[in-house]
Amino acid sequence: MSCAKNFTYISFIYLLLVSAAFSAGSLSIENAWSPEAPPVAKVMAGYLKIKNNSNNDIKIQSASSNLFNRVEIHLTEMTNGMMRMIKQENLNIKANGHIELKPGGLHMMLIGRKQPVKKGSIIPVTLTLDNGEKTTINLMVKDEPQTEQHQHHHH
Amino acid sequence: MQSEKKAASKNFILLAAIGLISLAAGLWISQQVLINSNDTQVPQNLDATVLPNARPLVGFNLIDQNGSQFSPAQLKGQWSFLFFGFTNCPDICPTTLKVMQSVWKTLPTKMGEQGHPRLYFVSVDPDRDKPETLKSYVQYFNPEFIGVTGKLNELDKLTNQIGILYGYDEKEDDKDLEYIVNHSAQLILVDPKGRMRAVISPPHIAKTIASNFQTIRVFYGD
Repeated sequence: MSCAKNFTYISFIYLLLVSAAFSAGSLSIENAWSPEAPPVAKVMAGYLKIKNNSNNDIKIQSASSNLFNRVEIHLTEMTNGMMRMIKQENLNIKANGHIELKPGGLHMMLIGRKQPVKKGSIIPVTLTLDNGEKTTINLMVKDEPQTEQHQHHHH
Repeated sequence: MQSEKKAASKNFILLAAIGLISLAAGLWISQQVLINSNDTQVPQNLDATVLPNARPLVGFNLIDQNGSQFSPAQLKGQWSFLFFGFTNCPDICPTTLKVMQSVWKTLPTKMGEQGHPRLYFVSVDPDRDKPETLKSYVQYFNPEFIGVTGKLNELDKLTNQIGILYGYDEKEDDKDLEYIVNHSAQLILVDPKGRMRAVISPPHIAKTIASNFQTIRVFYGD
C-alpha cells in the first residue's frame, strides 16, 4: 500500500517537474526584430511573433534587457484620432494560440538605451513567465522585418 | 484727301491695338479663373481627406533644428508635410518617418525643384527634444527632413488650428525622463500658400501617400 502511495507521490512530483520544464520550451518565437533607431533615440521597439505550443495559457509577466534600463510591453491604440500607448501589465498567450507584436499594435518598448545598438546586432530580452520560468529571446536589429525564420527555445 | 486717309489708318491701328490688348487681357483673366476655380473643389477617390476650403495656418512662432524661426512664412512657397511626435517614441514616429523616407525616394522632383515638398517633424515634447536632438533624429531618416519644436503655448497655436491632440502620461516624478507622449498621428499636407489642404490618417502607406500627393499637387497647382 505504501509503495503505491510513494509511487503516486513520486509520479506526481515527476509530472510537476516535467510540466514546469515544458512551459518555457512551449513558446516558439518567430521574426524577433527591432528597427534600427537614430543614434540619438534612447527608446527602441521590439516586434515578434510568439506561439504557445502547450495546452496551458502562458502569461508573460515582465521583461528585461541588459542593454536597456527597462522593458515594457505597450499597445498602440487610436482613440479619438490620438495614438496612445497603453502599458500592458502582462501578456497572455492562450493555449495553442499565438500573439504578434508588430508596428502600430502591441510592441516591446525598450527604454533607456545604455549603449549604441546598430543594424546587425542582437538585443537579448529575458521574458519572465507567470510560472516563474524565464526565457531569453534575441531581437535582431534591422531596417525591415525579416521573412519567416523559426527559433525554438527549450529550457 | 491725304490727311483723311492718314486719320483713318491711325484709327485703324488704334482699334487693332485695343482689340489685341482686350484679347490678351481676356485670355489672362480666364486663365486665372480656371486655375482658381479648382480651389474649392477636391480631387476624387483619394485615401487622403482633402479639405475643400484650405485652412490658412497663422500666428505660431516656433523654432527649427537650426535655431531658425519656424512660422507661417516657412510654409509658403512649397508643399509641406507636417507630422507631430517626439524622439522618445518607439513605434509610431520612427515607422511613419521611415514611410516618408520611402515616399521621398519615389518623388519625381529633387530638392530645390518646383513641386518638391518639405517634411517638418514637429516635436510636442520640447522638454526633452532640443533642436540639436531633433536635427540628429530626423536626419537619420532623410537629410531633407526638418525638426521643429517650441514653447508649449506656441505649439498649441499650431496644433489647435490643425486639430492635432497631444498629452503626456503621468511622469513618475519630476526627474522622470522616460514618460510617454500620446499624440495624433495624422500627416498634414500644407499647400504652397501655407494653408492646410489635406489630412492623411494612419495606417501610413508610402505608395498611397506618394500617389495621393502627386494627384493633389497637379489638381491645385504648385
